[in-house]
Amino acid sequence: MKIFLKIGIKNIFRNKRRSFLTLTIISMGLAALIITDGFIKGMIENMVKTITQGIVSEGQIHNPEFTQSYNINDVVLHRQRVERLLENEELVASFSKRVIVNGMLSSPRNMKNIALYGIDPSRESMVSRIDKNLIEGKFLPNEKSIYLGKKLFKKLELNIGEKLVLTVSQAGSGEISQEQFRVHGIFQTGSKDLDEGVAFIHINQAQKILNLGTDYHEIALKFHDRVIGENKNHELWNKLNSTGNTAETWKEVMSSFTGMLSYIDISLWITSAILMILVGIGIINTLFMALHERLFEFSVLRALGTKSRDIFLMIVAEALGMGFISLVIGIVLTCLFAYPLMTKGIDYGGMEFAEVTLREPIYYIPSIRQFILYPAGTLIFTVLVSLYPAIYAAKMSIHESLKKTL
Amino acid sequence: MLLIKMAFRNILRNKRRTFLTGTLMVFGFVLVSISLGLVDGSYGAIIEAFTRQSTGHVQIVNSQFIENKSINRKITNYESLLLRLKSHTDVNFLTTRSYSNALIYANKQTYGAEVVGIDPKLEDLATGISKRVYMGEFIRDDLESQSILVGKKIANYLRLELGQEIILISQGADGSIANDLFTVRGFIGTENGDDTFRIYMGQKLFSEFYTLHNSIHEISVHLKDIKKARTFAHELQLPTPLMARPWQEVQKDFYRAMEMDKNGNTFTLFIIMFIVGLTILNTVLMSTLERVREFGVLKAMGTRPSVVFKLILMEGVILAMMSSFIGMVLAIGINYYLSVVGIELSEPISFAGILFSQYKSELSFNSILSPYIVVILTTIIACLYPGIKSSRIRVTNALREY
Repeated sequence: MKIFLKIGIKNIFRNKRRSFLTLTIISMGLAALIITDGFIKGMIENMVKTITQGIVSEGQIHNPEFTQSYNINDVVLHRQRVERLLENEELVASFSKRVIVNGMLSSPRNMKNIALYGIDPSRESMVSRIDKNLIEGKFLPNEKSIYLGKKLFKKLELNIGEKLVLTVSQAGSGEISQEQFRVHGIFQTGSKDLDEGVAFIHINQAQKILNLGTDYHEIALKFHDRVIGENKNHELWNKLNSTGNTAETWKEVMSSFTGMLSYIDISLWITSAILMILVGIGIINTLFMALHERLFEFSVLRALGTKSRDIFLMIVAEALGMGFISLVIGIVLTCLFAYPLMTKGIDYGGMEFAEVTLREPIYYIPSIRQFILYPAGTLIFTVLVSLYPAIYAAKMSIHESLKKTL
Repeated sequence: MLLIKMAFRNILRNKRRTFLTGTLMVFGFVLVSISLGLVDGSYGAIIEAFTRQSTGHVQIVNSQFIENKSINRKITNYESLLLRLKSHTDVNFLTTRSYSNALIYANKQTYGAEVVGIDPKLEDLATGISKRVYMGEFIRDDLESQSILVGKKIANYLRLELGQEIILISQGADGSIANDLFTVRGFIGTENGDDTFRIYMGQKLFSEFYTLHNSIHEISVHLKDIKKARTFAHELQLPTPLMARPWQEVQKDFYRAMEMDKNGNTFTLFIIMFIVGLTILNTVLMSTLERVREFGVLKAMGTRPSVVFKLILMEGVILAMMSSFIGMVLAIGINYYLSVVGIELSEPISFAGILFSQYKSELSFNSILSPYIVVILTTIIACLYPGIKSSRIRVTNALREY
């Protein structure tokens, strides 16, 4: 039996050009798969970072009504209990309370509707990176400061340190309330929605203007392990929901992004299938060509008493050998092409996709899965595809094949 | 003629090989065709939707308004310009708009909205806005009724009812505080899209509320042919500070993202066709190697090298054309099906500010012709090397084979 495996492997090197072309096809297919996977992984990672380090953070807690109504009166329920729970929970790295309301900002020259966030500056910086997006001035140095996006700042035609007026309606009575703030810092996140439509003030001020007491609308969460924010079945979420509020992972908050992830998965499957079909046809074609060339040999082998099982084995061994060599070439090709993608990446320059802005370049991210699953899959596939010509060869009758070659 | 006959016979000599190679070509054709059809169709549908519903094909604005939609960066004395545009042969519809913001106060709550002043008649002709009113009625351009249309999200948030009076608070063009009572005449839009965060009112009402003195911010031009947008905008002579922008510039982010996506798609197709090409090369190379002796005989009888080369090329091209034909039939069928049915996304994805809710194919000249060129060109390139090699065979060596 061993000898037939050996013959099979040796057959690869008989027609070097043909084998080379087939090897190129298989290895290119493999490399394309690995790089696509790694690049998509990089893109997702990039977007997830943008989401979880932005104001979405890794998880959020609201009044069950709030996510639908955005009503100022739908504040977080039993807040002391929730806060105590979060403080004693080891999985939670930090949390930040937020007041959220729609309001109007007017400068002496212009006005704009915004979503106003009342935040605790020191706690917020532990949950999101909004303070790190500062490009000029300071991040909420005192309670009378307001922190704006660059586009909003431009639109209102302001200067740093200048005053502007915030108009909102209060909780309960609904009375209109106005308050002056000074712009002490501006930020730039690259996201149009944030840079143009959001402003931050100190939570104490927000609660005072809105007549909210110590109530608030949102708790943003950060965990020691990011996985908790991705797994809505984690028991922590049940614990938080038992307070009567709705606790959501960032994946639930960003449902449009999560929806897109499944499309990406589907398209990756389709791409793999297409590449595999192409590679498969290439392999079958090559093996059949080799087979036809060697009909005479096969018939001689058979005439000498070789079992059809051994002929079958010989062809499968040839495919297996080609598969192995292709794996090596494929992985070398991957490294060659992936390296620039890994170090330089591709810059999408602030393109917005599924409500996430691609601010930073997308890099190829390698993973063990790519270098085990895909090569193993390719190898198995190569062998599977070779079964057809192998069975064909094994079934051939001696006198017919002898006739064909003459 | 003899050559074609020979090529045909050669194709039919090894049926399995021909079948596999042919299948690959058909596959390549269908893949390229569907991929192009889907890209053109999906983007075509989106572009058609937003140019028709909101941006128009060309927009004329005060050049300072682009950077910052400030209320004072307006177009004054626009009537003569409108008349001039109306008489232009390429123009289908025209509509004028004004933009600002306001805080809405109703049911003890406030909400910020974009306020858009429109000429109801022109706007409806150009964009069919009245069809997007899902409850209540469309507005008229008069001062008496103070009637407005409210976007769906705002309406839901403030729990508004038809006929309800609401207060808008804003700042006029002269810096004064603007606030007034308005009556909700209808609700407009869906959960997504621009309409949902907007309030529409008549141009006169807008001008009065914001003390704009009969100025506007934007003239949106709908052309008869969208392809002329760039040249139309470019050739239009406008007084400063006005400028015309085609939709590609108005929706710059989207246009750029679309171009990038199309390039990515082309790259993927290139890799796929490269693999197809390699397989074709492999097959053709094998089939020529098999026949080295034949070519030797042909040459010994006085056949010129160019004829041998042509023969091999012809074999490839004939197979490619037959495969492409089958591919075309398949591709037309699939593309047609996808252009009628489309693939609906369960949740719309926003892409550079534009909502993308379904994949739709398009049966276009491009999606049928391009694959033809791609498949046949790939085949020709793949056949070059075997062709040249076979035509250069030395008779003595070739005849010694076997």
